[in-house]
Amino acid sequence: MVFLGLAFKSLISRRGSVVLTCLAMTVSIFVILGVEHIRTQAKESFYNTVSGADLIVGARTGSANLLLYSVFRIGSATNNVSWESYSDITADDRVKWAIPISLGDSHKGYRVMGTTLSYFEHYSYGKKRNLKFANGEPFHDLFDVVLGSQVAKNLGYGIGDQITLAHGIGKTSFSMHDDKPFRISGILAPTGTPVDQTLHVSLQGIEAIHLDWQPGSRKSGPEVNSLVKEDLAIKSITAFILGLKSRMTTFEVQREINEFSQEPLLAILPGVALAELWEMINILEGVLQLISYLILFSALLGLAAMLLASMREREQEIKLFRAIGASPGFLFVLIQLEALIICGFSILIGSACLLLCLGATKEKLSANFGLYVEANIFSTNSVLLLSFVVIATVAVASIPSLGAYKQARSVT
Amino acid sequence: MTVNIENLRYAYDKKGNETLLDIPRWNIAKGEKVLLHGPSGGGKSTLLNLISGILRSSEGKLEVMGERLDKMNERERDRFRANNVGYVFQSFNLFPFLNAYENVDLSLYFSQDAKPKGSKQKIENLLSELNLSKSDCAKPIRKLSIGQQQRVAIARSLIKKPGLLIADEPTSSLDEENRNQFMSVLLDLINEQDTTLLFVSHDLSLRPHFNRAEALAGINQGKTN
Ligand SMILES: Nc1ncnc2c1ncn2[C@@H]1O[C@H](COP(=O)(O)OP(=O)(O)OP(=O)(O)O)[C@@H](O)[C@H]1O
Ligand SMILES: [Mg+2]
Repeated sequence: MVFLGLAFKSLISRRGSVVLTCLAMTVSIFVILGVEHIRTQAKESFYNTVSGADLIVGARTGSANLLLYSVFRIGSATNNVSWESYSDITADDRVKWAIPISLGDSHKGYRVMGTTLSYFEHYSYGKKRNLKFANGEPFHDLFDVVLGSQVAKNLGYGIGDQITLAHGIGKTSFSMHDDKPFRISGILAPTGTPVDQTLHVSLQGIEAIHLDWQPGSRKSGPEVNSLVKEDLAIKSITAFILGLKSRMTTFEVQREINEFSQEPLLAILPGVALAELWEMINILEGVLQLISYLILFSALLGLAAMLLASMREREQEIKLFRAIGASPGFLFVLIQLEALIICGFSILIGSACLLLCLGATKEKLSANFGLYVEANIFSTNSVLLLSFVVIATVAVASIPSLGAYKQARSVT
Repeated sequence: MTVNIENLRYAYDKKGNETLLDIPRWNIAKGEKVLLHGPSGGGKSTLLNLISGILRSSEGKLEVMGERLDKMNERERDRFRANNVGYVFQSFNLFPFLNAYENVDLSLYFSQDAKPKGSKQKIENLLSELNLSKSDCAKPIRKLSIGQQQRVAIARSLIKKPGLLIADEPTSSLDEENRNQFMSVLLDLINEQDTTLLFVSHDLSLRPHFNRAEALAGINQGKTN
């Protein structure tokens, strides 16, 4: 207690330089924690986007591109997959389940995806977690739509509300399909994946909104109410996800799809494609980490410089401490404690700022970058990182502390 | 005997053969008040640091209040000093970041393992005895006059009732009025507590306050420049 009180009062008496040093440390802790947090969270949410799928199939393109548009809903497909090819491939004995994906429409900036009920049954994310409904049920009717949790939350929609879907994926789409209102039949529970940002309709629903749609023109089509699901023939889809009966057949099926004769297709292993894509982002990750460590290093040097500079003024103080009976060890601990107090305050303020910032930008990050970041920064990782900061502080502060110790021993 | 020195030798430069202090024999009796004087750079402060155990000599015998300082390790000497020796300097006697009360309190912290009950009352009594008001004691040190600061320094060094008080030119930065006040409160307390006083000063007009005045050159055979 005496130690702490002394260290505090001594720091307060030098508040000018102490506050500046504290600020430098705070910024560096903010950056280092922030980079580490976003890095691990991004990686985790990235790898957790899809799980349990054995193959993802689309028109021939780069594997990163296929992964991006089919799973992350980023970018768009250059070509479609014909319905015949899809039927042929999924009819195979080795296929356990298949989820067709049809993209290209949007609603207020959120992507609309056409699929089948198989999606709600087989799509999984994270550690093989299936989709759950927070409210309502899957689409059964042609004009039923199931919303991802963020879509419902951000647009304030509820079960039974009517919405219209637009062709194209821009936020301001010129061709609103407002003659065919969809009814919200269900809302999914949050997943922390792009599913939250997606509106799901049946494949026939997608066909229905395109039925009379021609670029640049709109003719009046059949009466909305007269449309029946079964009347609509599906011509093509964008991609599909396959689950196989046996993992052993994955490579075999992949090769067969890649050599498919009717049309050029590409089948990818999601795990491999995810890892490849992450490797590409990884370089940036390393650079960010390096920069944050450099910032920490310079802040620590600033701390040591501040303490060292103060030692000159404190020569007399050390002499007095010795005269009243303090040991050189006491002075060593006192200087260390001052450094640790600065470090502690910086950690407190730095992490508080980070918490606030993440809380404020969380929604934006997920909406604009598909980055799902939790505001809770206290993971084992961040605790380890902070312990490293504390240890580094002790190490750097031992320069002035040892100086004080030596000076205390040679005092006259 | 409070201080008992026999053949004490000390040199800052251990390799060179310039011995700063070489004192064959010097004693201070219990309760005695000694004025030590001598030219600047003669080694007065060095001698005080040896007697208080801040510095250590490996040659000769140095006994303070019956304890052999030359036989103690650093930790033991720190402990000894905290408990038995009060120290007043010419300047910088107080921590600027503490107020008067806290300064006195801190010196008590080093002298005991556990703080005795009633120490707060003791400190307050001593400070008021030294003509320091309660509001002065709560002020930052730099807001006190030099004279007030030196009186707080007396309180700081005598609160633990040391057997020996070492004063290294404590009056040099005081004017005549403050110096006289300083000497009178110091001597009152010293006499009251029966503390031995070793006082370094150039100011020989202070001589009447002491039992004995000693020139360092008279006791030291070490080489001076
Ligand atoms: N830490 C030290 N290391 C080396 N030499 C020192 C040290 N402290 C003092 N000296 C030297 O020892 C000699 C005696 O110094 P000391 O301070 O004891 O003199 P003093 O008699 O107290 O002088 P003053 O009256 O000016 O205070 C001086 O020559 C000084 O330069
Ligand atoms: Mg001196």
